[in-house]
Amino acid sequence: MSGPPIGFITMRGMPDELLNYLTNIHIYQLSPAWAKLDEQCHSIVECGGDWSKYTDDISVHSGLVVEDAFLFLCGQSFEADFMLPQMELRENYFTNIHFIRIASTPWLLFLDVSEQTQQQQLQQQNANELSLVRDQQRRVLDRYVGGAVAERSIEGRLTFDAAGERRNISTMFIDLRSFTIFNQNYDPQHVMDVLNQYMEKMIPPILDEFGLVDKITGDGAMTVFGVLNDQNNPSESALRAALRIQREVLTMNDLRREQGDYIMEVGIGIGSGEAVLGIIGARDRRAFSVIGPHVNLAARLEGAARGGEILVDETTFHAVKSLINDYECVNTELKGIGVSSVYNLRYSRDI
Amino acid sequence: MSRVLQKKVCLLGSFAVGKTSLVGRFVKGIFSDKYLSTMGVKIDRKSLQLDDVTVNMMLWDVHGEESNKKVPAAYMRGSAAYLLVIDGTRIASVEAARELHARMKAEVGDVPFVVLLNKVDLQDEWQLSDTDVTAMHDDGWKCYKTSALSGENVEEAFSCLARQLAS
Repeated sequence: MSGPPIGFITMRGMPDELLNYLTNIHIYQLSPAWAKLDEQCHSIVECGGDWSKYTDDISVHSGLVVEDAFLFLCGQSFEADFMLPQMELRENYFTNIHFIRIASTPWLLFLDVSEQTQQQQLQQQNANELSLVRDQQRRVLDRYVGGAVAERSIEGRLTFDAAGERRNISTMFIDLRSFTIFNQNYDPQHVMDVLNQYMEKMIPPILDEFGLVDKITGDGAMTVFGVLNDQNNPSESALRAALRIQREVLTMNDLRREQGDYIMEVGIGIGSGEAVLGIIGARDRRAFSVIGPHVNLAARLEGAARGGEILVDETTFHAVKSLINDYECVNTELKGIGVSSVYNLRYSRDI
Repeated sequence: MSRVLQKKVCLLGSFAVGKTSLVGRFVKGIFSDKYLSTMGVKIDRKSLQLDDVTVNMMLWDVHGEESNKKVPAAYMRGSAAYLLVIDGTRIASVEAARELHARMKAEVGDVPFVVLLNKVDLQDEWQLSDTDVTAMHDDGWKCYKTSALSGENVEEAFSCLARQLAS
């Protein structure tokens, strides 16, 4: 015994007005257009609905070859049912295309989903733009502070108390010797170009050791190691960066010497100890800052270093001595600090 | 004797790599720097005459691949060829291209494809290294450095694909 269709049971008793309303919002607004195909899905047997929404330049009618009616379906297999969502066949009109077999009869059904798609497009656009902005931020930060710091910063993992947080860190100052004479005797554009060539050798080793380039001061830089929470021995990181800088600058200088170009060497000072990391500034202009006695000490060590030298304080020396083969310790009067043990670390040109 | 071929060609890649702009440049010769996210598939077509063969390319400009919005397999099926688009200023778009390439191979087999390393006009922001490009060549990828803005290599990349379809 065949009963009423399922739809009929659920609709029983529903007033015609409501039924019409539901039909209107669920079917008519989709502007269905359909085509019944022959068994081989080669041509259209019969069709109906409003095709003007879906085709610009062809009238869909019975007898038409499917691929001629719908050029974009070239190569399409009709062996299994399929659904192609949100096809923009005409500018700003989106169509869901269904291919279905019902009781062995193949059908193509086109439904207009422009309104829903345009709403989704707004959300999609916002999400994509946000993602692009994050990418852009990451790239900009990457340039200034290196990939590791940028990654942590974007993900919100580079955190410290803005009011000031105590950490054990190493601070390294690097400076090009003889820069002032060079600057006074050459064209500013040439000075800028050469400075950038040196910076290309001096900055990447710092970033590769997860150092934060706090300030670039024209012919030098102040850098901090240990800002990232997962750095176990910031002094070792600073030393590895310092050694690489000296070696790379030496190699570049060999080449410059051969070419008769002006040579500059690098003086490096490293100090380690507890410091307060925080944000200093007023509402509209703030900057990351490190405050601690060893910071001044590191600056004085760099000032005392001759070209090619790496001078470190006692704390740094004890933290890195397993990496050192040769050194000289001299008690030195440092301006504003007094007499301190200064360790001049010897290194070979080869790693 | 002249032949006319009708072929479905998909453009695939991460979002905002410039797929729609490349189609705009190739089909209409225009470029807009306004980014408008593609939904679903935007259909376009272009005919290329290669000696006695006319290749009608039905271009399926497929929405960008995202972590939460994968390209449906239904879009890929029936493709005779495809273009993988990478944004040279976003290294992450290489991984998306590799994943889409693997999925295309699974859906349609070994059909012709070319790789467009797009936005070459943004040299200052370029992230792809020579090593990255060499790795693509080693994988047998035919790569073009393209710019939808200037048109550099756009015609060449599509024509290369059309020639493979015509042969």
